[in-house]
Amino acid sequence: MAKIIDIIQRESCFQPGSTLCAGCMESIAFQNIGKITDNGKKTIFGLGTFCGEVSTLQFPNPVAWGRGESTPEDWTKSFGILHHVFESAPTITEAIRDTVDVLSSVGAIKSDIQTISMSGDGGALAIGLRSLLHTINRQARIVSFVLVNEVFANTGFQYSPSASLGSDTSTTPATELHPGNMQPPLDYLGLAVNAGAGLVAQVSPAFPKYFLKVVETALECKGTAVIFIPSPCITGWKFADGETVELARLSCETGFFPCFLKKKGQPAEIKFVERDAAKRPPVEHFMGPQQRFQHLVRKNKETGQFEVRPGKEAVVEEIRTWIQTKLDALYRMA
Amino acid sequence: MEGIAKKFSSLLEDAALEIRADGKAGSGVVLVMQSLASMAIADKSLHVQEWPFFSSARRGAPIRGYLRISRRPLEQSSPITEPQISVMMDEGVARAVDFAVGVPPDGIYVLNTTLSPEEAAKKYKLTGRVYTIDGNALGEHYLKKPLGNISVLALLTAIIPLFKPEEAMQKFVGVLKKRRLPDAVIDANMNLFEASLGKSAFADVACAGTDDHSLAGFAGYGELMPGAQSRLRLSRTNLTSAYARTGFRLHFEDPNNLCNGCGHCITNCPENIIQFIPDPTNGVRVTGAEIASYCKLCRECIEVCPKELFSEAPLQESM
Repeated sequence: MAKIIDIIQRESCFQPGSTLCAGCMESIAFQNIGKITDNGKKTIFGLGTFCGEVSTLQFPNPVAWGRGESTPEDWTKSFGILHHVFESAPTITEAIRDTVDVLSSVGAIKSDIQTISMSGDGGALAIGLRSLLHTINRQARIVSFVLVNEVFANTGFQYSPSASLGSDTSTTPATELHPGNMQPPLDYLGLAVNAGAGLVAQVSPAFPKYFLKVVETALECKGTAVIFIPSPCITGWKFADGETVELARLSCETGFFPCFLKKKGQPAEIKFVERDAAKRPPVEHFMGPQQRFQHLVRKNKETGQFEVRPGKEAVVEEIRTWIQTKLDALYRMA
Repeated sequence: MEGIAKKFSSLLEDAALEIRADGKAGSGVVLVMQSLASMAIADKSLHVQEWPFFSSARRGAPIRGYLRISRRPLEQSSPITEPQISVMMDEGVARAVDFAVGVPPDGIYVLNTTLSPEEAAKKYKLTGRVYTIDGNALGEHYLKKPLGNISVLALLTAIIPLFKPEEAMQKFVGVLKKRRLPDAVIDANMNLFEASLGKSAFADVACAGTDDHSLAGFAGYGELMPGAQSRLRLSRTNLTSAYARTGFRLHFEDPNNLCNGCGHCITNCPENIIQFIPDPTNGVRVTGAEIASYCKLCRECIEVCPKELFSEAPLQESM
């Protein structure tokens, strides 16, 4: 395991110049992943369609990818990108893995190659769930990153199966009758664990030390490693500039996206979140700064604290129950 | 004004009146162009073509809107390269794109800026008729947001002889209602529209040199096919500092050597532009960032730095 101070001095393959929103969490995740993968092995990325793909790979200039000043012949610094449609990121990466294995077995490739797939939560959990689950089921030796921002951010913030209860998206708008999305989100952590993944994790770059540790562990994993990265979407969740990292931290501490790590055959590790609801920060702290929860939570003008809107207590109580149920299920694996 | 009306009516008969608008994603370019299109299309004798051009643009990225109006059927579908009216919606975008490129010498510029027409013409080297309006201040007053698009729309309806501002306002209400905005917001927009009429200034100027806004030809992809170029040419070509909030930039100052090497700004910078040097005691020492080229001013480093070394500073632009 490399030290964090050494990792942050490495060169990331994700360069400035992307057209992502200012303060995008996907961008923060990318550049950290880019630094971790600069570890002396060649990396091949299989990308599905998502915000981070369309904003960084524009014809004819892949504006935001590149590493260093050395020549393309430098094996350890070079990397490859293969782009496919929404749902195919894990499958196409599995194909890269198989090709690498075949070439290694006949001696055409001498050094090891890391294969990483990246997709958004719409691509991996809505359109491409079968692709992700079957890749896990076949035990392909890849690392699959899923950037969960709870909406189809690329196409206009429509509902995705991971959207939190009560969130206002463009296809589940909050009205007088409906308090936003009332479909309980997909239990993607449980699905990935039960499908037999070698490593399942949910970790945010807001905890850099833990994030780097988990990704390094995943790169050494023998089976399929699936890492879900909660990515606060500044335009879709509608919060102020500069709050991305703070919200990512709160999303873990309030239980919306608990930090979770489970290796196959070992008990799960849950961090930065208390099982006891009384010890956690209230959900209003996470929901308050975001406009997609504005119909449920408001800011008290006198005290400056976030509070539940009168008449919406039942919905917020339902959200609390959902979080508690989810955490209990995760703690049963610990 | 009569000269313009005459010119426009002959343009509408023989060719097309072409309008191009430059702005940032989120500054209301699309709303203005859609409103103008819906106003024009109410006249049955007019053919209208309107589309915004953005690739995979996110908030803050420069985008362009095009609008063609004609009394003949429109058969072109190419981008507008020589617009009669060029609109600049946001001063920040002028740092990234040349909004005056291809505008004929008797063209019209509509600028949302705090400058007077003469100052703006001098700064951006314009020739033609320059209208300016301080839309951001008006927007701040009525909408509590520095949005200049409604003021620009009001100014455009006053300039283009096809529209009457009073009728335009009614059509604009329809456009806003279609977007399902709350009534209070629609009222505020209406008040802003009314207040913007008559707030503009204009001047006929000639400040452009011969080579200032020439159309750059396509220089090719280089010696190699696209995709086979060296990585150096591929990456770091898109300068994103124009995404930053207009008029502000990031500022880094560490005169007392307070940086403790925690690395929070380095791990949390979405653009990976924090510059640092190795340090024997702390591991790393932050020395600055590539602010001029890439900083989008997302404020993450300002929020995470425990020593508060980063701050937001007004941009000092040289005239």
